[in-house]
Amino acid sequence: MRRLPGLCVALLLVIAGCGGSSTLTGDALQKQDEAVHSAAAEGELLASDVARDRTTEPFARVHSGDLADQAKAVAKRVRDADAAPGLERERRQVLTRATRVAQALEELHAAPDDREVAERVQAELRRLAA
Amino acid sequence: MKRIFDIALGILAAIGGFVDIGDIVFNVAAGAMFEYQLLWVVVIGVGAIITYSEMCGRVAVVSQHAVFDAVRERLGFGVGLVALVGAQLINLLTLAAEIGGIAVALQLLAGLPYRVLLFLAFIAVAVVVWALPFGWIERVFGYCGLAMLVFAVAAIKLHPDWSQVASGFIPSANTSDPAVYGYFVVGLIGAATVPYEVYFYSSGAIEEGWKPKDLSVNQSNAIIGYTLGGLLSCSLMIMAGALFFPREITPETLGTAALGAQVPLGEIGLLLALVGILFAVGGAAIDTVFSGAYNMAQFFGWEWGKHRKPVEAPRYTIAWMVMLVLGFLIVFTGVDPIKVTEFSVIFSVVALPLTYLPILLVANDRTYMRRYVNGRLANLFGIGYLVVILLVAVAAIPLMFLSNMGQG
Repeated sequence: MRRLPGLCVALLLVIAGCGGSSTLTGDALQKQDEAVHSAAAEGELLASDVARDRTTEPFARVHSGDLADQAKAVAKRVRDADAAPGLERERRQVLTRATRVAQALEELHAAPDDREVAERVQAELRRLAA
Repeated sequence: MKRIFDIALGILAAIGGFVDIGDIVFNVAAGAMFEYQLLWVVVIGVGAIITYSEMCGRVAVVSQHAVFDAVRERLGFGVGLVALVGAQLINLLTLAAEIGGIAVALQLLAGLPYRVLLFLAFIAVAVVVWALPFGWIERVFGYCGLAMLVFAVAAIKLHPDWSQVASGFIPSANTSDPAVYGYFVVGLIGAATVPYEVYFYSSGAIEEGWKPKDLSVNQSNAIIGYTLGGLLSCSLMIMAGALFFPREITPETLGTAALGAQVPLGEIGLLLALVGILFAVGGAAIDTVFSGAYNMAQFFGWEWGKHRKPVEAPRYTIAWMVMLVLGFLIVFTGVDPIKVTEFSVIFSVVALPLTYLPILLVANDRTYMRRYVNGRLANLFGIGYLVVILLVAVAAIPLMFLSNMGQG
């Protein structure tokens, strides 16, 4: 029984440690980059349909918001993590790309029936998805 | 003529009611990640649900035993109780996912806040379950769910490579990540064979007062209706394989599935897809509510049935109400309905053998089934699919961890 407080403290330290920053390996960074690419490529399809007036305003608004949230979640994960040795430059690139994708999608989210905005967002997302 | 009309209507309802949120999530994700490679798994899953739906429908018609009557009788109280608890937990997760799916579909249609729509979905399901007659519920949601056929049109309009589509029906594993591939095999079989479908199907046969003369309706609903419903599942995968796979898009929301109809068909495609998803998922939510109450009532020997007034079956009525409230509360916590769907499908696979084995045992019992006992063909498929389901049930949880829930 005397060991119980010590075990509890150890458990709390482990739990607290789980909430701290993690280290991004090459594979993990690659996965985050793929998630950004996915949001950008899907956003490009959506923006293209908004530009051609082939969708509804609620769908464009809600779905672009969801995609922006996905890109923001990646940006947060990458921002909060440390890069494994030699991968800091790649980490910054993924972070920049995720932030730009999120910004472009938020622009579409704010003006889901503006065809000019959609054309601009489509071009930006096409570039970011490349 | 009336009989043919009844059969045709039943088939239409079975097609429209075949797809639920699990099918949408797993088929679209599988197409986006593996193109057409996993189409063969849909065939296995649809074969299993046809075999066991036909069997449990026949058992219900001939012996007036629904699934959990058989579970209690064949597995005994102890093991039966374990099966009941497992089935109810999975039903609850599935219900939560379906209510969340209704709210997401409504949000994509109307753009209103998600939590408001969750509450609206909860009220709508409660009103429909309380007020609409059984036959109406089945047909209205089945027919409106036919709007999902837009995904078949979308798949064709996207001009997939049909030779590659055809080769997808031959099992192959051309992948660098076998754990993820295996996870999707499990998920696709689980999505096609979710246990609530057989609970609902067998209890529905009793609710609708089917007699042995209706066994042809049972066969046509199960065989033709579910085969055509399976084609709908294939359409979702082909659509995703043609549109999302080449662009390396990984679907994370129901909106991505709807986008798959919008890109080739424009606004009308989008609206049909959203209406189809709304009714498919809504119908599944109602089936799940009923299934939960049916299971409890059949296991504990309570009066049950939509055809009875609530005062005639009070414990059954309270059971579905509790089920619905709990499902709503789970999804109202803010948990992602897509993640809940994945968990519910994978865990349902683990519980499947305890649902299917008692059906197979009763269907082979001549004292109950008389001349309607399983023939050789039914046993060949029944035992074959049970073996497949056992293998998949054993592999499900390890694959979930090894594949990081399909994320690799």
